[in-house]
Amino acid sequence: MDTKWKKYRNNTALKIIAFLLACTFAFLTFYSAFYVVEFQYKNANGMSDFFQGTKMGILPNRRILLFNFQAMLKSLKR
Amino acid sequence: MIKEYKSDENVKSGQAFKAREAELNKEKEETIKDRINNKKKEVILNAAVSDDDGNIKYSFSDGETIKNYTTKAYDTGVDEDEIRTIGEKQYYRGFPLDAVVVNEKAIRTEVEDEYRDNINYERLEYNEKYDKNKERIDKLKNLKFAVVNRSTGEVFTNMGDNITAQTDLLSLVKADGWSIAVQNGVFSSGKDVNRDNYVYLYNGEEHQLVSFLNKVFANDGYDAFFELNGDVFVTGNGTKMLQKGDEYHDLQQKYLKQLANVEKMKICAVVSLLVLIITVVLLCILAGKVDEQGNTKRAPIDRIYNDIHFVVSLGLVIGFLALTIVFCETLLHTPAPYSDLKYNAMFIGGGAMVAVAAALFIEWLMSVFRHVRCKTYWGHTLINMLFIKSGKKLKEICKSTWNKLKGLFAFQETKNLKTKMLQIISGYAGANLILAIIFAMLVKNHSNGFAFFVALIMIGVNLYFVNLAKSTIKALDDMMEVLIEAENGRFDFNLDVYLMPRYLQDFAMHIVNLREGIKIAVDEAVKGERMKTELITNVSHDLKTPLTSIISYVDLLKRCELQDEAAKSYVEILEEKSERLKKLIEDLLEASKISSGNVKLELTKVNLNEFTIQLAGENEGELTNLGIELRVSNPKSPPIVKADSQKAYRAIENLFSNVKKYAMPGTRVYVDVLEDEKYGIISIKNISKNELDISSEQLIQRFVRGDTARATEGNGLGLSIAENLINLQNGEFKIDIDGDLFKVTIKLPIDK
Repeated sequence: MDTKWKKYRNNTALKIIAFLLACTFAFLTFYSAFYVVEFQYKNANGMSDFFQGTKMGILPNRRILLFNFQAMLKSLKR
Repeated sequence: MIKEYKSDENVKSGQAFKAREAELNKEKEETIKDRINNKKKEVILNAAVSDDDGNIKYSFSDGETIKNYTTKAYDTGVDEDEIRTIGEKQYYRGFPLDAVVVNEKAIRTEVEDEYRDNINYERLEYNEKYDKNKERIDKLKNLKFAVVNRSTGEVFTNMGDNITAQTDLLSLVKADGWSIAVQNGVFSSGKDVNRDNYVYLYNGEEHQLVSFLNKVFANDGYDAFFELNGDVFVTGNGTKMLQKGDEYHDLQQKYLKQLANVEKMKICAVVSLLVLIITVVLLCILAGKVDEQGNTKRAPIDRIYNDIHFVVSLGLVIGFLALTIVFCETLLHTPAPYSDLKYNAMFIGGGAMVAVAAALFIEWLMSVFRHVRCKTYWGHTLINMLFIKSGKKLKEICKSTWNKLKGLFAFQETKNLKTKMLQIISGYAGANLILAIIFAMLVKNHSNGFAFFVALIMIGVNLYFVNLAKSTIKALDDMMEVLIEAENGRFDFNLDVYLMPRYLQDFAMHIVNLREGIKIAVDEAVKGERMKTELITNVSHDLKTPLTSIISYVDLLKRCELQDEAAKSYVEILEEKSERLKKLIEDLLEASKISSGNVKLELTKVNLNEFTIQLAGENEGELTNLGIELRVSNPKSPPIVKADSQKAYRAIENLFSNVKKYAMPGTRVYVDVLEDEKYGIISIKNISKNELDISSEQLIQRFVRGDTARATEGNGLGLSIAENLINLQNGEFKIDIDGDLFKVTIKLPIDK
């Protein structure tokens, strides 16, 4: 095996490229996994942009009650 | 609020803003009062001076000391930094505020100017906000509402002009599963909806929608009814699209886009992880450069002790991962929660930290692989350097000291295993008994500390004996295994004598010596056999040269015209004996070659029918002359075997030669060709003219002849050569003797 891989094992540039590739993909793995987890967490807890933007109520059976209306009324009340 | 909304002109004329304006004016008066008091406080503070006795007096800028005003002594002293109201008067530091005159008019003018600007700005903002929210509400397509002022009966709605205070809105609400209402402070909802399920979420915190509705509407004297678009839901299993045109629809679109991104990100995460794993494996394979001799070279970082490297790398990796979590958690809980900047910082910053952690991990892993390839992983650890190596030296010193002590006292060890085992068992039982007695006595005397110490010794003693028993069993097991191997002829076993208990080392050493003895004997036997073969080969060669000359000269002599009849008969005898000698030498050479394995085989397909017919044809004439009848039987389908035809021919020719020499004249020789699953078979049967009082095994040995009187020609090598030649071709050779019946069976493998 040593002989078979010798030319690759002595190629520093190849190793640097592979090392940087590994770091990049570690970054991408975190980025994408965290994106998914964070979105799902926010979604489950009524914190997604949709929920927050609409200032809605949420029902346990996952049906969402839109209730942005209150913000408008509040400003008119003043 | 309803009134204001229903009258746009009120907003435009400023009427709608009157209430807020009044609030601001009230706030303005409060501010003027505060500023005047603050100014007075400032004047009082500037006028306060201390005399030589430490008493405070108040002196104004003209130098006159105020005497006409009496300071008020507080119960809690006069240095408090706040205004106190005592009776109808206000005091600051005990000084009456009404005694100080400031320019109140200037202060009022300043505050009024400020508030004028503020009020104008707020009015403008109010109008803008009103217009904006009115526009938003007018645009609503996915939510219908009606808000009724209970005292005036005014209705604020986007459900059309036919909705009035008299409309039975509650019935409308209850008819729809997704409508809610608060009427006279009582919450109602459509069918199938539990009021407790209505939760209003804001920044991730839950609020009861009921309390919210009460706060916004019911407490201010309004009834509110909401009829929600049946499609205004995002369900768990799919999304119902909202009606286009309002902000709910826009938000839903944004949400769905994010949802689609999540699916892509899931794939991205899996692919990235796979590529990461592949790259890490590749880096492990590539770890360490290779020199000319094919040895792995270590990197400068590998000089760090491996255990230190492991601990530091582990610490750093955990540290960076923890930092990532803390960083993301902190950002998640900071205010302005939904800005893109915050999320970008969280993703990119966190990702960068994870990448650094991955880099540190890979660096450590590659170092491990380099050390493993150099076989220096364990050797290059601090633990090994500090404890194991030093420990080994210490052990060596102890061992040599003990040996010296043993020498001094000339301690003679018994070699009887039974005695030794008895000694060990007695020692074990005795030590436990003594320690148990001591332990019991100590516990009885409440010396728990010492008892604990003795208990520890007991545990140590028992652990020592358990270990001794374990190593004894292992040693006995190893020795048994080795003896079984020796029984099967395998002597290249290893026995780690010095890892065994000392009292078993002698026995193990005997086994090792036995192995050595047997190995030497076997080696010598092999060597003797080889020498014998070489001797035969060399002697045969040396004999062959003069014999060739003898045969040639005998041939020449035969051609001469010899007159004497006796001389002629002598020449014939010479020719016959020299030919016999030649045959003997050739057989010897052949046997020698076969036994030394110096024979090259050329395996081809051989048709046994044709083979036997050819051999029978060649020998039939001679056999007939000797009065022996030859019977050959072949199967219809000829067996095809894989054999070296020349070597097989030589073997069977030897058998025919035997038949000619030893078969009884007037009898028959049967040559049968057969076939089974694996082999093609040739059997040759004849009746011996001499009595066969020798076993088949003996017959096969070299230089052994069935004709013990040695009355016939032959050298006793024919059967041995035939057997060896057949065996060389992966065949089988068998001799059966039954009285005078002599049967040889040759099996050659079928060519598949």
